[in-house]
Formats: sequence, C-alpha cells, structure tokens
Amino acid sequence: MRGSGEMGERQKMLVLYATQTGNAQDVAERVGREAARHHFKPVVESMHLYDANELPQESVVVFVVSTTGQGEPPQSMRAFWRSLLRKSLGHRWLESTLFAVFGLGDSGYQKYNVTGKKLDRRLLDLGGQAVVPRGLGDDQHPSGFEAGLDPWLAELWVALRQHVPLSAGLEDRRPDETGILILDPPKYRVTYYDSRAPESNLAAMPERSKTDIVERWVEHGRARAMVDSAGNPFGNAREHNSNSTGYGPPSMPVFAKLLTNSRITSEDHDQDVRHIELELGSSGTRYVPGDILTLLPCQNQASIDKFVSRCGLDGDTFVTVEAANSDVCTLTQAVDVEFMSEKTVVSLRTIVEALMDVDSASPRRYFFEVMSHFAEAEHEKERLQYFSTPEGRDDLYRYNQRERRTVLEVLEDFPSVQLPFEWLLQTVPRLQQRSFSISSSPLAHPNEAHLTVAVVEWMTPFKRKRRGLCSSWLASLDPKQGKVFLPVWFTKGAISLPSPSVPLILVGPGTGCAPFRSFIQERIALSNKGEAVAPVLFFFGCRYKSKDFLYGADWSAWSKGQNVLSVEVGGDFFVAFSRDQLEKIYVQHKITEQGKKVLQMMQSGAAIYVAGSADKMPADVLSAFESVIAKETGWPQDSVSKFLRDLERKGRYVVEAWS
Amino acid sequence: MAGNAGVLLVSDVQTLPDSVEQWVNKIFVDKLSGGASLQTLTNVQDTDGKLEAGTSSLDAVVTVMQTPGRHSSVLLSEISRVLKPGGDFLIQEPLDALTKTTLERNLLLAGFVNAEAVESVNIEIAELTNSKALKPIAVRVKKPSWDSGSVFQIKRKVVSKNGNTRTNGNYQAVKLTSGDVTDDVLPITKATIKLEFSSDFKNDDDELIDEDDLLTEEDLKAPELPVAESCAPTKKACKNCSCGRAELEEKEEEAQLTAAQINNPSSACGSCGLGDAFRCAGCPYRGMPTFKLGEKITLGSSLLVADA
Repeated sequence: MRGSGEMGERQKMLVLYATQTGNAQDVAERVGREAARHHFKPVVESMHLYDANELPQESVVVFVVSTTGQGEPPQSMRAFWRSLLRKSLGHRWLESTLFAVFGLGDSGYQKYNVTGKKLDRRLLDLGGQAVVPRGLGDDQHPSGFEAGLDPWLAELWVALRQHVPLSAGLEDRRPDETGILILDPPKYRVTYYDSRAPESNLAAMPERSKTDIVERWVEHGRARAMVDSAGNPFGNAREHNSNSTGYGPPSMPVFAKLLTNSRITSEDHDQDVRHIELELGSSGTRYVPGDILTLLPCQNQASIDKFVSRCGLDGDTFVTVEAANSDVCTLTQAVDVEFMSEKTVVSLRTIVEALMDVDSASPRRYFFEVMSHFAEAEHEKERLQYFSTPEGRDDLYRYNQRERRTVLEVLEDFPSVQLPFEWLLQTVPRLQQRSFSISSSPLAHPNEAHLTVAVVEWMTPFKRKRRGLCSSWLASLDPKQGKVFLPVWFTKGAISLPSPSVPLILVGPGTGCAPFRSFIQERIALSNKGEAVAPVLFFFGCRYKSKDFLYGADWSAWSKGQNVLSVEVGGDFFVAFSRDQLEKIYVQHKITEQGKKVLQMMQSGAAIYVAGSADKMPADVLSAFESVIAKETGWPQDSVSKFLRDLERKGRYVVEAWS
Repeated sequence: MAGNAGVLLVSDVQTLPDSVEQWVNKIFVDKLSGGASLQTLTNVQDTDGKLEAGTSSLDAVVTVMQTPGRHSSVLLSEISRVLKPGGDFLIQEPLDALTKTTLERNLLLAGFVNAEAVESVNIEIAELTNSKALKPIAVRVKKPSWDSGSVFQIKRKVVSKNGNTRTNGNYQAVKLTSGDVTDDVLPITKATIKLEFSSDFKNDDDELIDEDDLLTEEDLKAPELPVAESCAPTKKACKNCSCGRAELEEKEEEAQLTAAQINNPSSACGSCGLGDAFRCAGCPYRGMPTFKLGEKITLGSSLLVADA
C-alpha cells in the first residue's frame, strides 16, 4: 500500500543487503538511517535471512550487493539469487514493486560489479519498477565506493518522493541538511555487571596448552554469537549463528598443531614467503586438493591494551550485549528473540579481542560521523563533521582509507573523542577471517595441511611502513618455542582437482602455485598407488631464480622420470623468471612460446586452471591463451573469445585470483 | 538403453550401400540394442545443416562423406548438440594432411575432444570416393561428458554420485587413450548430471535462466576513473606525464622537509602540528606525527626514512 496514509503512518522500505566484508552492510544501514529521516519505515536485513518468495508483497525495496572475487555474489546472496533466477516467475512477478540497486565492486577485477548489474536487470525482467538507475561503487575510485554512493542516494530520495508522497503533516528535509548532526540510536544495548571477570591469563602467555586455546576459542565464540544475535535478531535467535550461512567461523574448528614455519625465499629477497605445515589431529582428512584453509588472526595484545586504555574501558568487566529497542530505524524484532534461556555474559576484553579489529582494518565513514558527536574539542568536532560530508569525502579518503589508518591511530589523532562502548562495538570494523589455498595433497601428506603465505608489507602514500595483520602474525609463530595450536577450518575454493584422467594446464605464478602443488602432489600419490593419471603442464613465474623460486626443487623432481610434469608422460614444466634478464618475462610469455603444446593438451581434453595475484595476471594469461588458439587454428578473434568463454562456462577454464 | 537413444548416420550421397549400415550396426551394437534405432540422413549437403534430433538424444553419430569439406561448422555444432555427453562421433571423409588438420581444429572448436585416427570402413566406401588424390580417413572423437550450456553455473558445493570426489562441474572425464586404434566401442560410463543441493536451495526442480544473459556488452566495459592525485602503482610520474602528476611532484619536492623544519617546526595555517587528520594535501609534514610548534619532531617507530 503506497501513497499517503494516515497521519503518522509511514511507508515501509525494505533494505536488503549481501555483504562480504561488511561494506554492503554499512551502506545498507546508512540507507536505513536516511530512510527514517525521509519518513519511511526502514527494515534493514541481510539477504540470507529473507525469503525471496515474499518479495512481490513489498512496495519499496532497496538492494545493496557486493561483487566478490571473480564476479561472484556473496555467500549470503546465493540462495536468494537462485530463487530469482527461476524461469517460472514470469515478467509480472514484481510488477507492484518499486526497487533500486546499489552495487559495490572493484574495477581492478575483470568482472566488475557484475552482481549488482545482473540483479538490476533481473529485477527489471521480473516486472519491477526501477526508481533510479542502478548505482555502482568502485573501490578503485580515488575516494572509494562512496563517490558513487553519495550522488546516487541523493537522487534516490528525490525520485522516491515522486512515487511515495508524504503523509499529511510531514515535511521533507532540505537537500543541504545531510543529517549528520543527528545521532541515531545505537544498535546495541550493553549491560554491565558488578562482579569482575577473573584475571585473564589466556591472553598473556605466548606458549599455551591446547586446552587454553580451546577454552579461548569457545569464549570468543560465545561473544561472537551474542553480538551477532543482537545485531540481527531475525529468525530464531537460537539457531542464528553466522555459520548457518557457511561464511562465518564454525563453533568448533580444527585445532591444528604448527609443525613447521620456514622462510622459503632467500634472506636477501624483499618478500618473506613462508612454508607452513600444520598437523590436523586424528579425525581424518577434511579437505581435497583445491580447498581453502580459513582462520581468524590473533590481534596483538599490546594493541588491545592500548585500545582498552585509550577508550577508558575496563577490560575485566562482565557485560551482556543485546539489541537496543528502537522504533525509528532498526531491525524488526522476531517473535522469539526474547527467548534466551541464559543470558550470555562475557568479559569486555573478550569482545574486543574476538570481534573488533583495532589496529589493522580502516574504519568507515560512519565511524567518523559518530565520533563527531563525542568530540570535546571544537576543532576536532568540526574536522570530523567535515569528513562526513560529500565535500570532505576526498580528504577523508586521503587521510583514512588510502593511508590505511587503523582505529587506534584515528583515536590517537582525535584525542578528545570518547566513544561509549556500544558505539565502538557498532562502528569499529569486525575482525575478518583470512583464507589461504592449501598447498598440500591429503593423500601425499595424511593428516597435514600446508600453506604458502607471503608476508604482506607495503609503504603507504605518506611513506609509512605497514604490515598485514594475519600474515605477520603467522610469520611470528615459532613451533620450536613450545606447542602452537591454531583454530582453523576448511572451505571450498573456486578450483578443485578433476578426476585423474583429465590432463591439466596449470598457470600459477608466485603464491598462486599453492593449490597446484596440492594438485600435483595428489596426482603423483595416485600414480604411486597404481592409478593411471593424465599428464600436467605447469607454468610458474617468479622474479629471481636464486631468490623466490618457490618449491623449485619440488617442481624439478616432479618433472623427472614418470612423474606427471615430465615430458616423457606428456607433461612439462616452464618457469618465467621476470627479473633475471633485461626484458621482463612472465608466465603469459611462456604460454605463448609453448603454443603447440598448449593446443595439443587442449585437444586431448585438458582443463585449464589459473591462480595467483588478481592484478593483471589473469587478464594477461587469458590473452595469451587467446593468441595461442588464434595462431594455431587460424580462427578469427571473435570465435576464439567465444570458445574460451564457453570453456569458462563449462568449468574447463577456471580462475582463482586474490588481491 | 531403450527409448529414443540411438545412432544417426549422415552422408552426402544419395544412397548408401547396405554394407555401411551393417558396419555401423556392428560397431555400435550395444548402443543399438533394446529398441534404439539407426537413423539415416542422406544428401546432407542439400539441407541447411540442422538436424531434427533432439538435444543430447543420440549415443553416436557417424558421418560418411564422399566429397571433402562437407562438415560445415553448422553441421558440426548440430552434431554436438544432438549427441549425449560422452557420445561418440565417427567421421569418414576424404582428406589430405592439410584438410585433416583443419578438420581437427574445427572439431576442437565445436567442443569435441580426443581425436584419434581409426581404420576407415570397408572398401566399398573407399570406392565411393571421387577424387583419387584424397584418401578416406576416419577419425573418432568424443563429446565431453560434462554438458555444455547448462542453464546454471555448477561451480561449488557439488557432490558427485559416490560422494567423495568433488569435481568442479561434476563431470567424469573422458578416458585418455594413448593412440591405439580399435573398432571396439570404448566403455563409456554415462555421467548423469545429478546434483544434490544443499538445503539452502528450495524449488530446485525449477529451471533457471542463464544469469550471464543478463549482462550486455556495455556492462562488461571497465568504468572511467578520475585520475587520482597519487597513482599508487608507480613511484614517480611517467616521463611524458599528461595527467598532471608531474606538476604535483614538482610541488612536492619543493615542500620537502628540511632539517630546520624538523628541529623547529612552524605552521602558517596552524594545523600542521595537529596530525595528518588536519593537514592539507600539500603539507610538508604529511606522514609525521603530531608536534607542538617549536619543539623538535620525534619520529615514531612506524616511520622509515624512505629512499624512494
């Protein structure tokens, strides 16, 4: 029911989001806040909790979706999206629905923002009426996705007003009132308890027993479940747990023991790459070649201490976190959200450790907006307000996002700001899990999982040296200093090893070789057991033969005799050392050089896998394959491109790239 | 396999000798049992290349051509369409080395794999050949066992029938032969494309549209981005810089911090000492910690002296 209702009755606006790292959620919440200011009644919800069959009943829906990786929708969107793709829906299914789509993506990837684009078109196909054209936010833009969001949002409210007139007695805000002067109610309500938590020993010691690690994990898990329920009280509170969507930490991971952590690039090489071996414990193999190992990094204890003290918090108090009640703009309460047989109580420090990334991820715009309300010093308050406006956006990006300012650094730069804990919990970025391709075959190394981890290090535009949180933490772990246990879990990668009789063409420069070491080890192990295996053609690339030729001895050994990479059985191994000579030589040059062999493998039914850095390598490699096929067959460019696209669609050309 | 399955025999002649049909019957004896039939299509060169058979409906197709060059791309993709995944395609055509290579390339384009030479059929067919310079050559290829153009992308969370191997695309690969020629039919295990969906997916018996159809040419183009004032990948402006970065860098060089500025910092705007959050874009103190006017700046541990 649209149009003017009785006084005080507001039009419901559903805001559905599909987030991968929290950005789409942040945007959706902003849409919700602004919607309330425009006299709508917003309901902000993650797609995985919404039944797509109810969509036609909605009058106004705004979608905020991220495109991840190789052009995939986030996990939380998969089921919803699949529902929308049904042919049976017809062209009038959404004819009573007004909608608008905002997509978040990164034009550094080939399939830029395709999820948002596809969604927008599909909704149109289904008869929906677009209030405004789809908006696209681009991480590559100098001021990030907000450069696309700010103007799109402004347009949205104006356009919506054409369709949804104001109820009598209500007035619209003037366009220049951005609303940052109003602080909306917080999402969470925090209750403090008088009794104190026992002195936490778990954090301090570098060497711990496995039981301590397990206990700590359980404690952190309780904190996460409690906050997740409070933030998203849809559905059954009991069953809500981010793992039900398959993309959060599981309640019980594998507690893997660290066996080896050795540097495999030379000491005089710029980049430190580690070969890490983990023992998985006795419950048998849990992964197959191509799979991914995921973990949550441990935050630096000194940083946690600094943060707790800077924010004037008492880390040892017990607290409970629940959803705050609000009828202006938040999530609707489900019927049985009050059902919690026992209230969860954890120490405040546990929440910080488990959920809040205090010294690595950069905060988002809303953090600065909220800070402005809690700044005592006038010049700080002004600056923070400035950062929150479209005019100040570029300056904010220069100071914060591009410089990768951490929450701790921002708080130190604005010393008069004192945020209450519920606001910190709501706006400090969530600690994110990290994933690594597993570089071992379970057949060749039963009960083990190997990782190939490059320690991330870079110089910011202001010439400050930064290190990645997860990779530096992993690099710091030393199995020789006592037992080290890591909670890890397994997820499927984009690539998986086909059956042994399929020949393979593998392209994996740098750490991209990780999943292929797993593939090749597996094939060799199968062959040693007497199975017939098809040959493998592997292209590797690195900078210097003497410095970063990762697993060089392994590849050489596997190219001899009857092993899968050996020429004798029809395989081969080529490596491009990009800086060992004047001109740059990369994997794509090797591919073009070996055109005949490549085509021959393809004719015998080879599947092609490409893995490694997302930057330009996948596109360059695709061009190399195109030029090889064009040269060897004489087909026109169009046919060649179509042929490779078809291969991709059939799953015979697969790319797994990461940034 | 009962039902509509069977074998299609295609030729460019008007009538085929009986021995050809007998030969086909012999080779594909188990595909033609149980009610499956052998259909024949002659004078294919007079048709437009389209076949009547349904998609993925035939176990095998045999073409016996008298004149070279009859395998047009339309005909080849039609044959690919009507063949079941894993199905056989046996070709006999008069070819020389060059045209044989061309044919093999065209077969690859049409999606067939594993081309292997086989013995051509009996002499009667050979005698049908018009040209003496060309020999009839027989090639056998397969249509891969993963279906093409599935209506949805089968990428993850796919469990094959026996539950262990998780193959991408759920295909069972074709068997690689090392080149031995045989008339026997290779045993082909038919891979049923049976996918078990996780409970996320309701309505899984509904057919889905192909989501890639939702994208246009325009959609796949990269967006135009404004030039950032600091193009991160490169350390310096290019020699023939046209984006204005060279001028910016010149200005920056002028704004390098001198030792005097470090020891006795001053600020015309008054904001420099407050830290990066308050500094202007061209501020020489960018990256430096906070300081009080007149007091020497101490570098924190996160700062390195960069040697550009």
